[in-house]
Amino acid sequence: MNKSSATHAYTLSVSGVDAKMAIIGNESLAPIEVPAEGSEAVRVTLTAMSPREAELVFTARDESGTTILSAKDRFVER
Amino acid sequence: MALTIEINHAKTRAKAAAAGSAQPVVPQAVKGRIRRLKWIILLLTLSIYYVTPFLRWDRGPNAPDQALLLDFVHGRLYFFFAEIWPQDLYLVTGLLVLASTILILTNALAGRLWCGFACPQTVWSDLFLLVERLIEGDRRQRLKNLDAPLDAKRAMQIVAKHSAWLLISLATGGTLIFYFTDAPELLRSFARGDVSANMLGWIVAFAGTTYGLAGFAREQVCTFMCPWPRLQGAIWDPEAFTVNYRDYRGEQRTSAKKAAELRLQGKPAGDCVDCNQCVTVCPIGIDIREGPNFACINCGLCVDACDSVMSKLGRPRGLIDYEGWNNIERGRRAEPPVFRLVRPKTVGLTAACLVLTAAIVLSFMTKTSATLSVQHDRDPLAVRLSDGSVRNASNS
Repeated sequence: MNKSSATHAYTLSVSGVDAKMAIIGNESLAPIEVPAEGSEAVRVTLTAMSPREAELVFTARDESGTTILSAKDRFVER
Repeated sequence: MALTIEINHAKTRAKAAAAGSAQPVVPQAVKGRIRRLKWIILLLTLSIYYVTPFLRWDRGPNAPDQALLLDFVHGRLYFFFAEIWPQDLYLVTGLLVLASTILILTNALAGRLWCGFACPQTVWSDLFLLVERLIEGDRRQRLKNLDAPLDAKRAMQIVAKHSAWLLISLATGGTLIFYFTDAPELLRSFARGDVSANMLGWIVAFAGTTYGLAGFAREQVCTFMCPWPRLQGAIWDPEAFTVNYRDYRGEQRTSAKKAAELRLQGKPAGDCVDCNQCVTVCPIGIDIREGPNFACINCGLCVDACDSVMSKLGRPRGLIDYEGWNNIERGRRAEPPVFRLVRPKTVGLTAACLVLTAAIVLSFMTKTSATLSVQHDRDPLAVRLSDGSVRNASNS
């Protein structure tokens, strides 16, 4: 969610797990544009070849500034 | 003793009200330092209320420039430099908790100080009473009016009073909706006569509550409707500076003349001359000489009234004063008063206020202009693919 009065683009990445991240409809993982005072939802998959349960952190880096947003999740095997 | 008096007073008033025989409270005007302070606070609070919607604050393009705006349409609360989104509502909750804690701290220090000086019910009731006094005269005349036949003069007074009350109520109701939309623009649309039914409905609702609560309900709101006096039984603090009657100085009551004679004979005489001024000026209609009373809003008008009488009689002021109940009891035992501002309750409440303030400030300072949230798929949590890998999916 972008609460500012200008459009911002965010690059999404994940850490904490050895898995391939894919954004449905955005195979190149290009920055996601979020309109001013608006929100954007994307569907993300994480595929791990050697799966193990792990805490992971999603990070959205603002392309036009220094803002780094993060959110925690947990990778599960089953 | 104190609690018994509170309960008895409440029972008496409630029974009288239920029987429809309760005498209306017709407070007399009073002059003095506390009354002056109350006028200043009244002017200040009313000015804040009526002027605030017109204060501007530059937030740059594409943002409203009203300093305080509750923009329900876009889900925003603007307060000068702060912009609160629905996701930040915990900050508002924090502020409300802080305000309640400050109120409890104030109560521990000086009783219902908020009620007596700054509560909107008190401020608007004072304003309505002022109008009533200007049009109908002071207490004596207004009491006469209660039983007077309706003649042309009386009818004119009633019309004038209610017209003034309605004007104030409409201004109050109209101002309240300025907080929810751009005030100057709304004022211009009022001037053009362009008022929607929705706006009109809200203005009438707010004006109606002002007219009813400040014009008619008055002290009934403070005694029976407001939850704060109900809590006084639990949070009343004998060390708080509440309005109290120094009965050890005032009793036995006697006339001024008799008291002077007794003193000449070297006999003890109370300072209270039973003039009843403390009762006639009370906006709640209580007699503070009966002891602490949960209905007392701590406005101190009886202090002014009593001080004025004491000055005229050449007796020391402060027969009724802001004083802790513990000191009244100490006075009865001829012990010197003890003032303990720093005590476990006040220290704890001050600490709570400071912690809450720090938490709110920290939350506000670390608040970002964007948020990221992840919702992991619930069913299935994970999918095993044919190559043995595991896939988790989520919405970000």
